[in-house]
Amino acid sequence: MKTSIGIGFRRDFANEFLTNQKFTPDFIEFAPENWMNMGGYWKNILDQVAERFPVTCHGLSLSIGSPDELDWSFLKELKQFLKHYQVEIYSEHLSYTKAANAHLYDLLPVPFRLDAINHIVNRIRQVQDYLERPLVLENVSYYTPVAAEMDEITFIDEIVNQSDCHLLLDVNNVYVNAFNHGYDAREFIRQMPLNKVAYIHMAGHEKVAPDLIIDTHGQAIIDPVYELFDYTLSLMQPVPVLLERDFNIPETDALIMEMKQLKTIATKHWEVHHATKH
Amino acid sequence: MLLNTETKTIQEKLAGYCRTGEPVEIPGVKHDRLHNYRRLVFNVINSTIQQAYPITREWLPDEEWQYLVNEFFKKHDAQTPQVWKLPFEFYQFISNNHYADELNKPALNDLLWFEWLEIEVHTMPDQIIPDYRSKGNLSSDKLVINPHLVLTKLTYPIHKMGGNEAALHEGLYFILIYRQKDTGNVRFMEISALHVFVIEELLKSPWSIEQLLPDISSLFGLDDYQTLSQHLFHFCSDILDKQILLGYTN
Ligand SMILES: [Fe+2]
Repeated sequence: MKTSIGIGFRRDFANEFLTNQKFTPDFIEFAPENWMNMGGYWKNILDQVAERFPVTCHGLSLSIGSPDELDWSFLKELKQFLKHYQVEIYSEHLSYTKAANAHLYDLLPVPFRLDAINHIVNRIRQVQDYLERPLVLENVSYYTPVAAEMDEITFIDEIVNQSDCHLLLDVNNVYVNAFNHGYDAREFIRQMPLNKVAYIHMAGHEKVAPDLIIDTHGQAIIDPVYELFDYTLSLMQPVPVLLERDFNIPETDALIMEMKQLKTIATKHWEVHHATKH
Repeated sequence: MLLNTETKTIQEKLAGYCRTGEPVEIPGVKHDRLHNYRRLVFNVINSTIQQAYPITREWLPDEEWQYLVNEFFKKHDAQTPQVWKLPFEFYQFISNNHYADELNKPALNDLLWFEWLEIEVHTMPDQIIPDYRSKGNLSSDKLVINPHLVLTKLTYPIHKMGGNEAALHEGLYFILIYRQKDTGNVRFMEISALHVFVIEELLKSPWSIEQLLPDISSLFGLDDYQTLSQHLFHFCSDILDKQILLGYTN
C-alpha cells in the first residue's frame, strides 16, 4: 500500500484545494455536520472538491458517549450524505457533546467506567448496524479525569474490542494526554489496539500553562509529536494519515511541508521496509 | 439503559457546569482544569453566533452582547446537531423572550431575523430550476423566477439604517432576499405589497405580466391598466437584471 497523506478540508482555505497545483493531498476529511442540508455557494465548492479528492468524514455531533438517546433523524440524514459523497471512512470521537437534551458542540470526556463502556458499546453496535459500516472512533484529548474507575487505555481497549469498531488514532492527543496526566506516551501507544486503527490524525497543540496543553489544532506539529508518530508507525501496518489544521491557518506552503514531513516518516516505515521484504 | 443513573448525572453535571459556570462537585475532577471546558464550549457558541450576526454584534455594547449569549447558553437547550444552524435558535430564543424590551432595543428582533435570513438564503438547499429561455417578451411571455429567495416583512427598517435609528421609523417594510444564480451571493431589496403579490404568484407557477394584471388590479383597487402594466414592466425588468427572474417560458 502506498502511503496516503490527507488534510482536513476547511472553508478558510477551500480555494487552495481547487486552484493550487502544488497542493495535492492524497485525500481530504471534513465534518459532515458542516455541509449537510446545504446548497448554494458552499455546496458547489464541496462538490468540486469531492470530485477531485477521495473523501473521509469526521463527525462532530453523534455524541456516542452521551447519556441522551441517539438522534435517529440525524443519522438518517448522515447516512444519505455519506452515500451521496461515496465516503469510505466515517469517524467520530470517543466522547460526548450532548447531555440533558442540549448540544454543546465540543468534546466532553466520558467517565472511564464500566457502565459507560456497556452503554457506548451498545450504541456503537446500533450505529454500525444502521449505517452499515464500521464506526471509527478517535481517542480524544481531555483535561481532567471525570469520576474514573479505570485508566484511559483500559476504557478505550474494552470499547474497541467489545464493539468491533475501528480506531482513529490521534497521535497528538496521546501526546497531549500523556503530558497533561503524566503517563508515558509510548507505553500508551504500545497498549492501544493498533490492529484496529483505520487511520491516524496528526495535529499541533498549544501549551497554555507549564502543566497543561490544549488540543487546539491551531499550531504546527511539534517535534516530540513527530517522534511519537515515528515510533507509532514502527509498530503498525500502513494506514492513511491525516493532518488536522483548524485555526490560525498558515500559508499553504507550510501545510505542504508538514504533509511532506509526514510522508517522509510514513514512507520510511511502510514503503522502504516493505520493498526490502518482498 | 446500560448507563447507571450516577454516571448519567455526572455527565449532565459536567455539561451543566459548561453552560452555567456554577461550581459542581464531581469525583476525581481537577478543579484548576475544569474551567477550560467552559471556556472552550463558550468560545464555540459565542464565535458561531457572532459570525452569524456581525451587524447586531457591532450595534450592541459588549456587556449587552455577552448578556444575551450567556442567557442563551444557560437557558436554551441547543437542538440542532449542525452548529451553523444554531444562530437560528439564538434568534428564536431572543425573540420569544423579553430581551428586546429589557434592553430597550425595539429593532433587535428584526435585525437578528434579517441577518439570519441572509444565511438561510445563502445556504438554502438547491432547488430545481425549470427550463427557461433567456430571450423573450417581458409583457406577454410567462416569467420564470429564481426559487432561491425569501420574502419577509419587518417592523423596523434595519435594512437601511442602524438599529437605534430604525426604532424611530416603525412601519411595515417588505424585503426580498435572494441568492444570485451565478455567484451564490445574497442580495436584498425593499419592495411593495404589490410586488410581494407578484413574487408569490410567480413562485407558485410562471405567469406573464398580462395574466397577472386583472388579479392585481382588483386586489389593490388599481383601475388604470396602462399605468399598472408599465409599473409591472419596470419592476420585472429590474428583477430580471438582478437574476431574481431568470427568463421566459411558454
Ligand atoms: Fe483528531
